Amino acid sequence: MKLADRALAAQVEAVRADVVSWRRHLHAHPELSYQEHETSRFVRELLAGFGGLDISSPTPTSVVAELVGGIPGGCLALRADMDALPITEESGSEFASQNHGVMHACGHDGHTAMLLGVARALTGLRSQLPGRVRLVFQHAEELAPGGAQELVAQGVMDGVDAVIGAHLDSLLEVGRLGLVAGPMMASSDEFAITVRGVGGHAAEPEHTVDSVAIAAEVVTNLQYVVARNTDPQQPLVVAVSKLQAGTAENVTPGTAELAGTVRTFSDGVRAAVPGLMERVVRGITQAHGASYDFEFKYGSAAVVNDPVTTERVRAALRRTFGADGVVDFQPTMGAEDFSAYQERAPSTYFMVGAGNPERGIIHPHHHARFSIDESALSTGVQALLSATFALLPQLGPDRPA
Amino acid sequence: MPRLAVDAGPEVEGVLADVVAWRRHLHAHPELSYQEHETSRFVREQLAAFGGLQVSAPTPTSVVAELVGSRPGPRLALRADMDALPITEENGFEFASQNRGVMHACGHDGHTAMLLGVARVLARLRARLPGQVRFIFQHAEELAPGGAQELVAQGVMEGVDAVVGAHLDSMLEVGQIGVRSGAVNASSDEFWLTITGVGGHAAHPESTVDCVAIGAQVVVNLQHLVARNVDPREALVLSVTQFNSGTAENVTPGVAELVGTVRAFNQELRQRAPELMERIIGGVTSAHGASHRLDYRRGYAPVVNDPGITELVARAVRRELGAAGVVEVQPTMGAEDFSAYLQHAPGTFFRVGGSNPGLGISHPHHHAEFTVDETALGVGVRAFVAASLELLGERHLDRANEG
Repeated sequence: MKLADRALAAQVEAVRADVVSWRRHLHAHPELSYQEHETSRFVRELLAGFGGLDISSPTPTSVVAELVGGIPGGCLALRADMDALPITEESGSEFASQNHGVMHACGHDGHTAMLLGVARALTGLRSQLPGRVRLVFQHAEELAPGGAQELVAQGVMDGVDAVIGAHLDSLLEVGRLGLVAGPMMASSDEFAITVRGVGGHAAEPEHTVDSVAIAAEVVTNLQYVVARNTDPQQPLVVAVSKLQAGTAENVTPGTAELAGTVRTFSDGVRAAVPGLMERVVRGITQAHGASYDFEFKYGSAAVVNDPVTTERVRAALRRTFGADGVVDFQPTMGAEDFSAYQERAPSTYFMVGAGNPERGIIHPHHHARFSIDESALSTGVQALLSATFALLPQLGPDRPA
Repeated sequence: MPRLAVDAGPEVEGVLADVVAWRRHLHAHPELSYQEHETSRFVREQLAAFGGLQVSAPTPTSVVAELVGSRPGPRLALRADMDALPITEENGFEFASQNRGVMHACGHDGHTAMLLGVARVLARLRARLPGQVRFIFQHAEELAPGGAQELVAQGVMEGVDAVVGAHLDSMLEVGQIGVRSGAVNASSDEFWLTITGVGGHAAHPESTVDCVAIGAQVVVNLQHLVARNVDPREALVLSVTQFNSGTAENVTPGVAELVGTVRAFNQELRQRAPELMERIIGGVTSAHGASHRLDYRRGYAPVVNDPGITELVARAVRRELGAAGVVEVQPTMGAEDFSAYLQHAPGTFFRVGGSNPGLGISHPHHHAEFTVDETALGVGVRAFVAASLELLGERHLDRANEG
């Protein structure tokens, strides 16, 4: 393995400068979810230039490239996401967004650049590659229903034996990698509730059914779903993040609109929540003579890492980066549509530290001043390559599971 | 017997067709509060044509006309409001609103037309009248802070011994005049409440202070003010009419904005309401680590009719219309800035029935199909004239004389 690591390190060094310049180009030209036209063209052109890759576009703004190694084996998928956010950049960097109001504020520019670096490195190591690698450049991670499930429906996971993804993390120190077996990121579902009362003059409550007061009772009573109705050992968030009602001081509005998000790691809790919520909404509105509409939209499932795959990757990363370089990642209630791939193959998703407080790189993801320490990019490339060479020999029909 | 032996009947009969025509003209040309430019010009021109009236404009869109009788006596103020509402009319009348999106949906066109009619009748009887009558054509009744307090500040109530106003009522049968002593309209105060929490990702409640959930608790707990904190015999309304917070499903907002109204008949209770609200809001927000700012704005005071003036007016109208023409009405939690005049002189505010279910005239005020049975206008003019003659004949009302 020492020899392989040295060969990988050389490949990483060879692509280091290019990965940084690709990331800066992408950072300056961010595109919103489902609109990654220039981004996907840029990715396709670079991949074509590497040679030896079978390139396709399963959807208008996604790219998939497949590399068949010199040694027969299983199939590993590596995934990067490419979309940016509707945020106006305030970083002041020389490669800041040239697309006003759109910003790579979550690091997807880095994810794409890293996977491009991995692709080029792998083409250079092709003869030593024991199996096939499918590089998935995904569109629309930030916007429901998300690009992952669309790509899965297009068959990008067909024949895949394992899948890996990585996310830059500005709150994790650069040089470190964060892994966790089991639940890592929460499911993310959305709900919309309309409370239908009877509008009228605010001076005559006896002639109205007050949608504002009843909506307030609904919000208050929904807290019971978390506090009293579900297993206290299963993390759950039910957040009403919008409540809109009324137009004038002296008119009681007939309807109130509520919307929010539900997050959990547990499939059982996730399945039970809509029914528990609707029971509360139905009971409260009925108690006060109102009616309701309840809409629950399932979004991405929880990211749950396969323990076996995770431990294999952890072991490989420890060899490459040392024991201090690999830390336990605390699960977060944030969401990722990487879960769509996980439903099709064993997998792990890990974090690549990109924070550097000494250089002022401390802003959280989705912040207008979000940034990364760019040395994280080669760490990420090296980690993905290490994981690839650790996992591939274990995959395929004839390999130990 | 009326103390003034003046027969106004022929003059009243003579003005009724004009009153209807004036009302239709005004109905077709409604203007919003503080924008009653054409309306006030129309009123000024009519008043000037009647003769014998001193006409002035205390504010850009209000009109006051003063009639001085032939001998000393009480000084009486009569008030009509002139503004329309931001409502798109859905009536198919040939005199429907020609100003799209603006409508006389509360009957102020009728109030103005009736008071014009009363002014012409009394102007023609001037030689036989004691005292003085001040006709107040007020702007902006519908929009806080209201025209009444502005006119009072301009001195329109100086020297006034009694004030009378009326409101058409599409829920009261046409032909009837509704009277009541004591409170008839509630006070109307407004509040703006800002609850400030800490915004953040909706997936991380531990890093946020959720102003939506806390705002909901505030709304819920404010109900205690009406249900548990005040004398159950005193009417009180606290309505939260707006709740605005949040922009996205996955972002917990940092601020919730709540707006509402408080109504009461009892001034003492009205004074205590903001303090009680502050206690509840302060307690609930601090319990959950949020902060708040309550902006409580006093609006119209309750309309409280003077028992003596109300009885005099009821007696005169009963004599004019017959006993069946006067009914006692219930107070409403709706508000009226007529209360601003009542702070300066005793008076009464009566209702003029305008409903006629047989003709399909039954829509409530502020409805896009609101209207009144126009025969109500004649009843209103008769009631106003009878009330005026009654009060002008009451020498004891003349405070200047007593002094």
